[in-house]
Amino acid sequence: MKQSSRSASFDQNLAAQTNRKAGNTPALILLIALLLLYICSVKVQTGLLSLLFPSIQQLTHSRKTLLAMTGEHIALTLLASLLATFAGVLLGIGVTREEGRDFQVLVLRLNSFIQTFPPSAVIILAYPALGFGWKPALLALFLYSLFPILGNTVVGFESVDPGIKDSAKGMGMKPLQQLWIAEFPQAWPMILTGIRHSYILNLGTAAIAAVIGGGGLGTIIISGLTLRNSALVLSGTIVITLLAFIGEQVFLLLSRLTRS
Amino acid sequence: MQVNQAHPILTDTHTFLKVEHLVVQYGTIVALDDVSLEIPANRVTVLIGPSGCGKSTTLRCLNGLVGIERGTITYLDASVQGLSQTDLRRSMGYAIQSVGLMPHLTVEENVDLVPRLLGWDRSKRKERVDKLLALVRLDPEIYRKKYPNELSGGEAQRIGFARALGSDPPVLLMDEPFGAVDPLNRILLQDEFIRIQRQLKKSVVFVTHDLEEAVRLADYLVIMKDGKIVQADTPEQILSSPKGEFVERFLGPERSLQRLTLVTADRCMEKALSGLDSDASAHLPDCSNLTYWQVDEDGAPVCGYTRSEGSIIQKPITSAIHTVQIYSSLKDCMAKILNSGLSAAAVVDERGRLCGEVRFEAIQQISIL
Repeated sequence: MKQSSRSASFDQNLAAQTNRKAGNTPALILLIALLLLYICSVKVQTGLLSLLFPSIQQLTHSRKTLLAMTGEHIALTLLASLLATFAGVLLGIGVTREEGRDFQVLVLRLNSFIQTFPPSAVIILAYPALGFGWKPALLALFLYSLFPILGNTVVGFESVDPGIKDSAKGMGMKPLQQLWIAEFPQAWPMILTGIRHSYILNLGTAAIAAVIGGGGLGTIIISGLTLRNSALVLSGTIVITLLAFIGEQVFLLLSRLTRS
Repeated sequence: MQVNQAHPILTDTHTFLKVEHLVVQYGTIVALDDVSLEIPANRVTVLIGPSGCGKSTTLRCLNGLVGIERGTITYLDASVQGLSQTDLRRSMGYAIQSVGLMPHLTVEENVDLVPRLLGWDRSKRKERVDKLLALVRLDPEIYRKKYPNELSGGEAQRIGFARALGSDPPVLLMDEPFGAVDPLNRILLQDEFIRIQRQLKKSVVFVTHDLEEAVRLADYLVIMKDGKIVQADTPEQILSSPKGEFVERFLGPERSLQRLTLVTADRCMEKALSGLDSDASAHLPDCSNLTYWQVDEDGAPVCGYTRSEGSIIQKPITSAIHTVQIYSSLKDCMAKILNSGLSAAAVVDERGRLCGEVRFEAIQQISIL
């Protein structure tokens, strides 16, 4: 608990620093342009990869375009992060209310327990129930990304100055008003950090979806691994890395816009 | 010379709310043990006692922040009768030691919170904020858009007070509001509080552990110990006839000096002898112990003169620490007189102009009463 709070605030500091240094909107536009250029044009892909791996013949996936795989990857990651944000923030709010505080320790323990499952194990365990395809992958990603969001939400709300809660209640705010007017704005930077963490985490983890036919950039990476084709692995990795950078910039922008 | 009654007597008001046989428990600890109390309307009731005596708990029972085990609280005043818990809280301004300003809201938005909750219309609210900021003497133009982290402790406390007054509530609940402020600023805030309270006449319940503050501000003083009320009366009455050893010990050996904190300067202020020239001997009759004040064109005192054993003592006045304000305590006046060696202390108004003096004999007379 303490650990995660410390690392989150460290992250925030880091974010604030990079925030000041980088003029992020131009960087974001540049990154998006690079990404689009790479995934849309087979010429760019083969051009770049043949420079790095002159001996390898096959530089693209045989059945699927990189564009389609990227689309699946983003959809899976975003959906998992959105669901986890929804569940994590609601659950976090629930266990920081007076009525739900008794469950806080239980929920946080359970949350870290889930973390100890490797995502591949979750996928395999979920297979009988959810079958083949993107669904078990979504479940795994969802459970995985719940941890940082829920944890940060709880820390965010618990670290609101008790004097502020007291005066909010004392001046006659109803429970929802206390939450929305007094507490949420203070917990928000911390929550956003949690969401950012989970999104970045998901981008990498989503690659395993391909194992069970869930699509995404894992498709090209795993093909590369089975064919011992480093160029294919790198091609998928390039896109994931670009997506991570873009995600980082979007969140910085978001935190700047909402922290006023 | 006119000596007003130091405090208006409590009989010309009605009971605002009545607390009967209140018992509050935190687990196995009894925080309040059969507390019965009547809070007078339009007066300042101060709850005082050592830490853990239950003074804050009593206050927090009044707006329902602490649950009651047994006993009743009856709201008798028409302004708060039959209100729901939420509405009750909105009609009781609440100020606490840690201030509790929302750090993500500007000063204006903070002060505006309760009117906003009550759904007042925008123009009325804006007007109200400006009025409140002016009331606590912070320039709206400068402070409106500031954030709480840009304020000093004293300024934040003023904003907290302005916020508590937000919707012009009939009641103010104040839990050690000046506790975290340095001594100098605390006195200033007390002065402001007295000035504003005389203007607004709210029903105030004020918690403090500072005896001088309590004696200064209270119309009705409630001394508590171990969750019980030991004595509740006007400060004059308590200072002159303390009930029991605990109260006597609590009031301390400076009891008679404390009585001077009860009275503000304006209550025994007299017309000052003043002029523009420095020829004091012409103004001061022989064998008198009057003080002559030399003032500048604006009316601000620059020097004081008193005859003493044939010669004339001269005391230049260079800053505000040599003078007192209308709402300063007589204890403060006494200190200024002793420091200067003059026979009186100069009283100045907000703009620093001489508006009267408080003489040594007047203080003596009051402390005999």
